[in-house]
Amino acid sequence: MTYPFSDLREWIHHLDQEGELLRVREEISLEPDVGAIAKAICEMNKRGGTAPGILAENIAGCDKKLAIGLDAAWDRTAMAFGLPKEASLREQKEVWLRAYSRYPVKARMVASKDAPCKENILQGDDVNLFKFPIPRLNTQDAGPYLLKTLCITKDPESDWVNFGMYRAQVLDRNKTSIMTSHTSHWGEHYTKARRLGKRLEMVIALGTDPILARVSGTRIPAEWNEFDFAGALRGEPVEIIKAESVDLPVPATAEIVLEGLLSLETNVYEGPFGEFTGAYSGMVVMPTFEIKTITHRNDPIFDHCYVGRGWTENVFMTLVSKIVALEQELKHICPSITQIAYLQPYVENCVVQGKWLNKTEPRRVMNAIWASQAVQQNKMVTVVDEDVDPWDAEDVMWAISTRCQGNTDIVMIPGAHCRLDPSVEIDGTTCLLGIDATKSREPFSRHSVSEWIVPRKEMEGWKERIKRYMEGGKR
Amino acid sequence: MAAPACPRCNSSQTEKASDSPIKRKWEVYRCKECHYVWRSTEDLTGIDKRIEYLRKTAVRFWD
Repeated sequence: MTYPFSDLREWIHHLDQEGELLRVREEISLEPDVGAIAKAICEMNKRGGTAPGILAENIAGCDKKLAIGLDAAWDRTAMAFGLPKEASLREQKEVWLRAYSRYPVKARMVASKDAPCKENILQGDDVNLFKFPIPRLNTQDAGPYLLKTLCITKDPESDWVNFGMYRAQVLDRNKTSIMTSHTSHWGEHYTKARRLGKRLEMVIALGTDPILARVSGTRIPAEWNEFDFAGALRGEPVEIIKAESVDLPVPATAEIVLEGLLSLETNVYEGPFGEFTGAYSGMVVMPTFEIKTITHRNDPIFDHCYVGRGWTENVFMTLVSKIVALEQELKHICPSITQIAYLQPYVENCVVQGKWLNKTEPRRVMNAIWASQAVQQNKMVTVVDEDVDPWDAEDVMWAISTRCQGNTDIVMIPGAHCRLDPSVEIDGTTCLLGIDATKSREPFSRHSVSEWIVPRKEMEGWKERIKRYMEGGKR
Repeated sequence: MAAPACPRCNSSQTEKASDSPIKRKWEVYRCKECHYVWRSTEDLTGIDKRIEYLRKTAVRFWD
């Protein structure tokens, strides 16, 4: 199947046709309206709600449109993969999984005339980020932020091109910060550039088809090219073009492209910013991104997403890809795993279901997840058996209550990296927490349970019959 | 007209960064001291002004 969306506009058109888009033509403000609208969409959709994405066409003081909440719904995450809106999480995972075996589908360089991102080229005094409707989402954010970013860099010592989704605080007409650490692929590039004493070139692309945004928010193996991985997901090459003023590729159909250089020194206090943890991260000392050139499409759309206390849009966008990336990494290390889930809305709370061969496997799983490259931070890991639904918080709590002893089944590892955890120690480290909520097994069996209750097999049939009785008014 | 003092750190080292694309709707200002950015139309009465605390506790990944 050909991937149906070549750019953000086709995605918006599709959402419109599916009744998943609301065009707001009355005047709204960047602050406080956009942040309030964005959070409202996430809240309304947290358990399968149907609030649409918003295309704001009349923002006070602005002459450009803003899209928000396009990805903040489970049916829209399915459609973003080119699937019907009712497609299950399993079907979405299969799409993502296929990309690993198809990789790479090399990106295709197109001519300038075929690259709408070059329709307008701004340099010198014309470079001004405040021409775009970039809001302050949460009240204590240090300024307007770019969030749904493709931050594109190249390894200073090889041809490895990487992009990732990192927050960037707008500091001035032509300056932003960026916030990430050594452990990201961007961090590897920046560390090398500093060591070489050479400023790192970067492009921030904004407003792309939904696959590129998802790939940007997911960690794929080091030295893989995200454009080629997105091609594998789409089943066809991503169209790229060389940036105007730096030696980097950019998506040809991006709405807005910012090109420039990162400072060698860390010279700006970035933040606070309201993160997905539900707390404001404090300040971080980061480099400055100096923008030399902005290119954009005619009538560009600024595509934005909500980040804040869960439910939050980045969860909708990256949950499936995060799980698949983790499963890919762990499948050989821990073949007993049957499912990996994340209990929402806090996205660092991983639950692993498995058909465990012995009592030591759950600890092996915990350690594998904490050492994983696929997820940079994973504070909590709960391990459950195959009869517990890892997506059901009540079921998981039942397993913790009945299969876990505080003195023997809890693993704690202090001094770990988890930079956004609001409960970190003063030295910035966190304590990883593992909960082994699996059944006791021989030879470690320690209690008298001989068997766990399994509902009678006729139960499912009776659910249906009871439903039919209710519909027919029969008692 | 001089730019207003920074609503976060009270510094006078501020400047107007831009006017709104549709004129006379808002201006945006920046603080050269603490890097706070704000629009003239925002209600900033409740913002966290503990700038010294924020600086003192700032994380320095790269140092």
